[in-house]
Amino acid sequence: MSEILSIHHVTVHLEQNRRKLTVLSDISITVQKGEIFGIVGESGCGKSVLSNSILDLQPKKMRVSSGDILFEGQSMLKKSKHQLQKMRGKEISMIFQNPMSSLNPSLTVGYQIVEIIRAHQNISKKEAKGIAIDVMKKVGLPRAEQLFYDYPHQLSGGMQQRVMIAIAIACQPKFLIADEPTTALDVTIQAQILHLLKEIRREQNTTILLISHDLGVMGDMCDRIAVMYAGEIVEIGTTAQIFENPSHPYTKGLMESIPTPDKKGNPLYSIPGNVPSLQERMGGCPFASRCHLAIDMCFTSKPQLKKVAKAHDVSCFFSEMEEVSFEYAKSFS
Amino acid sequence: MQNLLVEVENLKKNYTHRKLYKIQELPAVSDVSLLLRKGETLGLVGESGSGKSTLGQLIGQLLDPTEGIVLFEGQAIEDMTSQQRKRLKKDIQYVFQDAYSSLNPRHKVSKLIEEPLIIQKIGTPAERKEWVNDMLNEIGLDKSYRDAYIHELSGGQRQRIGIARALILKPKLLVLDEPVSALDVSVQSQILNLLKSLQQKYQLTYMFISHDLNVVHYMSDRIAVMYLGEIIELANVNDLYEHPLHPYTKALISAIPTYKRQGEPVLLKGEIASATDIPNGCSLHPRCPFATEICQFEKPVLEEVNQGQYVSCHLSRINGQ
Repeated sequence: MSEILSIHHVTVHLEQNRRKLTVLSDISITVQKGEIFGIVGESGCGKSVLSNSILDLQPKKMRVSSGDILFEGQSMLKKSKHQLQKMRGKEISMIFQNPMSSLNPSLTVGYQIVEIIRAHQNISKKEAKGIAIDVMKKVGLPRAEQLFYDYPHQLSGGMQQRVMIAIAIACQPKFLIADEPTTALDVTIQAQILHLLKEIRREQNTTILLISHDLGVMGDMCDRIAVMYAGEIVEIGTTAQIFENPSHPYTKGLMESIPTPDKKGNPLYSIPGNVPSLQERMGGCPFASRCHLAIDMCFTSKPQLKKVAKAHDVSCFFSEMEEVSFEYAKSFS
Repeated sequence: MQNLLVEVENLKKNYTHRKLYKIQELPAVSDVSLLLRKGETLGLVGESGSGKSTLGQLIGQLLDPTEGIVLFEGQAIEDMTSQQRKRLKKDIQYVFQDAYSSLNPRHKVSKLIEEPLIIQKIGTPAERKEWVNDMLNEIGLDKSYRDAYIHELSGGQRQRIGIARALILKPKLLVLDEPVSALDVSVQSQILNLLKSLQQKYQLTYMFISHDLNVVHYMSDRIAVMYLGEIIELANVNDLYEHPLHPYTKALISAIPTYKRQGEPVLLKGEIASATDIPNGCSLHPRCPFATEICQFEKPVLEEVNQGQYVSCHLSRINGQ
């Protein structure tokens, strides 16, 4: 496997009232070709900002102030607007959370799929329509020929999301960013869409960067997972490592707080407090204020991502001290 | 029948939809019967458009049924005088999904929690103030939040206010309509724990509506599964999750994404039908992978297949015997 995307020490700042707020600090990720890489975190942790900055889609107020994003070895940050525009949809595509607000309500579904095909390939409208209908069939849209002339509001949420996926894969991109692709959908439709994403990966060897707050979806879909908290990556590892041996107190807390059948009858663990807002973030470990292991050191100095096992990195001072994690495990029971 | 709190018999609710000159009836809830026992939590699951919120609102007295009756503690709500109905609203309270849009942004927290008491004309201002303070304590918020406005609070805190507002009247039944679906996982567990402990303390009966099957499993004693306005399966939590009988329930439960999922999910074809165009026979048959001929023509009825497990499916009756 080779690297397709690597994010090197990326820091993103937000300018607000002449203050510089850190949205993402020092994020490093490498995504291998053909894998499904997951980014999980609660709302406000910066997972969407991270994925948007790959294609320079973040709001103007947010700037990547240091670090670099390399796609197939080339820096995305040094590319001109025109070069980026050429890549969007062709090399890297995105599926957004809310299809209704991402599709243009005044254009037919077919037009919107043909639009992206014609933007990247010099072919006639008729040929493009043929490709569009093929893609629509591939994503499981029924009656593709009729649906081609329908408007987005005539479709259900699941079908709209399929249209979004059709637009995203119309030019057979190498890299697909799916930002909460199933959050707005029902469970049975979610299962269909996730199944479809897996199939796209299998057939076209597309690399998928999947962003979600739902650990269940992550566990089902991903090969590797990065856990984000307050603009930082606190743990990164294979899905098995994250689920079977979560090592950061935040990851552990998240795992414990999901209601699963075996936890019925006992009170759920809950992480005290809330995610700190941008203004409240201080130096030190971002999780310190909610972590019941925290010592003075956690508030003053920032832990770095450190290897705890092969391909498993954790950013916590306690991750190496075994007796503490034992005590921590005990505190749950 | 001492321990029955709510009995629902053949409840129907149709919405009307005007299409130029035609008035179309949309059946949101059709022919639902169920019982709520005192102190239990009945979970209500289903996809969007299945009528679970409508049923919740019918029981929560926010909507009047088109047909059918709701009995509260043995008394038909239909026959109640307006005074009795007002008292009934004290016994049945509703918690909404989105606390931000269901709470008045111009009121302070103290006013929001006190308001139900004022409407019901309970207590003097001094007493009410004390009760509000007690209630804030109960839901885990500091007294200093009395003067806060709703926009100053986080999602979890807002939902706590929503719960406090419902609880201040000391109701017997709480209808919880997706109370945690707008919250993050770590906050969600705080609210679920709070609801559990309040239920024990005040012997509350919950009707818990959610689309999150893990949350419903955690909270409920019994679960009703709805599809296109009907209850298609009703059973104890363990029976339902371990031996789901209806194909739709099977699909729902197998569709819960988890790490190391057991086997392949049962994928349903297509999507939930529109309420304007409910299929003949079993309403699931166009999507059901097991559908046979009889499913297209004859509507199955809800029958007790195992003890306490009710299913409306032709196949379960055939397979069960």
